[in-house]
Parts: sequence; C-alpha cells; structure tokens
Amino acid sequence: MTEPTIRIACRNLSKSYFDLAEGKEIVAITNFSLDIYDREFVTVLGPSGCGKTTFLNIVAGFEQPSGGSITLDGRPIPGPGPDRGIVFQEYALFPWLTVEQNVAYGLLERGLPKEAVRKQVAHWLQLVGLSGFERRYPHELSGGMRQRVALIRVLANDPSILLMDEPFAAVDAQTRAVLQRELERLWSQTHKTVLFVTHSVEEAIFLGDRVVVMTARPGRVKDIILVDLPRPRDPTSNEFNAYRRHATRLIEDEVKGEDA
Amino acid sequence: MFGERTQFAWYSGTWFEYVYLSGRRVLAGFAIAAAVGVTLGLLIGWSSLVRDLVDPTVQLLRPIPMTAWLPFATFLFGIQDTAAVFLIAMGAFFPIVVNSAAGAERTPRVLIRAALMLGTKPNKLLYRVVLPSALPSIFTGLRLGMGIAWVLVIVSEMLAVRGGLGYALWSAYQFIRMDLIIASMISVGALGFLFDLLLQAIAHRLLRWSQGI
Repeated sequence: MTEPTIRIACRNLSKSYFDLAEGKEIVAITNFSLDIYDREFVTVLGPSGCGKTTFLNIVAGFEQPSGGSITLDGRPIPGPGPDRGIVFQEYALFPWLTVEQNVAYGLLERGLPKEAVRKQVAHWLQLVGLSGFERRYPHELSGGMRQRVALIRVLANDPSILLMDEPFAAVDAQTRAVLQRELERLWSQTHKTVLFVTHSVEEAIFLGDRVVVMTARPGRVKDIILVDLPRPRDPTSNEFNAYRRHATRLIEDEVKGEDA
Repeated sequence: MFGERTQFAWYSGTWFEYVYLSGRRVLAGFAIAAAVGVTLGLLIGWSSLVRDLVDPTVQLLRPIPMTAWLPFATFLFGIQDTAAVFLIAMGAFFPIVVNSAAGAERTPRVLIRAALMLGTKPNKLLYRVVLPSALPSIFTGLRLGMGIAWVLVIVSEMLAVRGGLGYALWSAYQFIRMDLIIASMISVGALGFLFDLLLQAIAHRLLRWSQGI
C-alpha cells in the first residue's frame, strides 16, 4: 500500500481576534498541528467554544490564520470555493429557492447544461429519499429534511473535501442517528475527505476514522484517537463504549479545567 | 366638466382622461424611484464604501418635507408633467431606498458564505443572494413609496400641473361642488387601493417562499 496523501497540513496554527462583546483579545486556537489524509473521515471533538469551528472556517477560507501555516494539497488555502463543500449547522439553504433549485444552485453556477443539472438533482434527491419534495421551500421541511438538502446540495457539486460544522446538532436524536448512517453510506460511496466538527462524543466515534480531541480555549490538539472499528459501527457494543469512555474522560478534563 | 346638470349628462368625458393622467404620473415617478431606490439601497446596505459615500446625503435630504420640493420642481421644470413626476419620484425614493438598504444589510452572513462555497463569484453575490434576501424588505419600501406617490400626485396636480384627479379636486372646490369633491376623493382612494393591491399581488407571487417563515 502506498503512503496516503496529505490533503490538509497545519503547523502551529493560531487564530486570535478582538471580541467586541468581551472587549478583549480572544485566542481561539493556538499551536494547532494536524494532518488530514486523502479520503479520510476526521472528526474534531471538543467542548463548546474551543475553536473547532474557527479551524473549520480557516480551512473553508472564510477566516485567515493569525499565525502558523496551513496548506491544502501543498498550497496556501485560497478563498472559499466549490472544491471545499460546507454543511452548516443552521442549514444555510437559500429560503427563496425550492428544494430542487437549492440542490441545482452549485451546478448552475458551474455552468452545467440545464438537462444535466435536472438529472443530477433528481438522482441526489432520490438518494436521500426526498423525491416528491422538489417544489417545496426550505421552511416547509423538517430539520432533518433540510439538512439532507444541505448535504446533497454540497455533494452534487462534487467537492473533494467536505467540511461539516456540527451539522446534526439542531435535529432530534432519532433523526440524527438516521442522518449519521446516511452520511456514512454516502461517504463510503463517494469517498470524500471529510472534516466533521462536533461536540458529541458518540457522533465523533461513530463517524470518524480518527477523532481529534481538542482542549478548551485556546484550542489545541489534546489527543488523536484512532477508531479501529468496522463500519457501520454499533454504538451499543463494548468496544464502542471503551472508545466512548476514553474520549468522554478527555473531554471532561477539559470542561473541569475550564471551570476551575 | 362643470356644465349644467341634465338627466343625461352623468358623464362629462373627463374622468377617464384624468385617471389616466394621474395614473401615468404616479407610474412614471414610481418607476424611477423604484429603479434608483432599490439599486442604491442594495448598494448602501451591501458595501460600506457606498454607504459612507451616499448615505449622509440621503439622510440630509430626507427630513425636507416632500411638499416643500414643489416650488423647486415647478421652478425647474415649469408647469408640466416633469415637475409632478420629479416630485413623485423624490417622495417615493426615500422609503424605497431606506427599506432596501435595511433589507440588504440584514442578509444572513451564512448565506453569503454558502453561495461562495458553492462557487458564486464575489461580484455576483449582490444579485444572487443580497437581492432575493432583501426582497421582503424591498416590497415594504415599494408599498410605502406607492402610498406617498399618490399623495404627491394630488398635491402637484392641485398646485402645479393641469389635468388629473388632483386638478379636478381643486377645481371642484373652487366651483363649490361638494358632489365632485367627494367623487374625486373616492376616485383617488380607489385608485390608490387598486395600485397597492397590484403591488401586493406581485409581492405575493415573488415572496411565496417567505410566507410562514
């Protein structure tokens, strides 16, 4: 087997910004070093406010690092672009577009012919069980359906990297479990490189090849857990629980440390 | 128009002409106000550079009551349609520009980011994201502007230009014809109502996505 290719490489990355509400300089992440390999599913797990979203925004090209270096395929990160698809926690669907128009958005921006776009959209909608909802507007859908649309809107655009910012945090537990399985299924079919940010220990272990545990603010890499379990994983198995216990302890240390 | 009343003279032949004159002035002024107001408003709400350049002027002119512009307009354009259209355009412009700017400014940042990551070029964001996102607010401005347009068409027809429902209203007053005064008032009210209904119908079609949000 050949050495896996590194897609994203961070060395001593840091990001600080001036927070107007708190009236002082906030160091969101510091000394953050991490390599993400091609076709890898990496979950980033950390207590709230630890800077995991900041890291994702830097990879996305929305924010510039204050120090250190980060490269994508060996080059500095350009501004946001369709090579890095993002699924936001708050869905971020265009409310004035119907479901099919939302899914078609990126394809049309790329200048694909209408007929090809129509076929693609129908294919993706069918894949996540949303056929028949083409003409609905986002506000007419449930949270789970909206997040499915947000996911296929990005996948239809065929990015090489998928960035997911707590995408299932706003849906109920049952829907979340279903969405996690769907995501895993889609990932195993398309084999994108995925960077998935979450504060749920179970979600991080269920989905990740590796779980990057972050410290409380300012965020650094505290530990990296290699999840060596066959997919799809069974969250009720003893092995899964052992990982869960380990990760929970790491996180608890961080939360306690912050309270002290 | 004010001939002797006979059994058969229920229509003097001027109502349609005057409705047409007033309606045309309103539409012309409103169209100019909408085109300039929406464009400028979106730019003000979107770009801080445009806001810094234009907004102080807008805010400085806004407190001047629109009726105070009438002598200015008449002096500039004479007693003709242009004066009325100018006044209407000026009056309707302000609510349209202010509401469009507010709508553009409230564009959720996450939608801008979503568009960028889906491949929208930064120079297309205004059209692709900011405009549709601001549309509900824009229509609020348009409806307010339309209301002002009808006020101003009557004022300018009473004082500055010939023909139209405001002209009929003032003439009726001078001839002490209460029946015609009331008829003109009802006509103006009905037309204003109709124009607003039309705007609402357009808004209903374009803003179907925002109903129930």
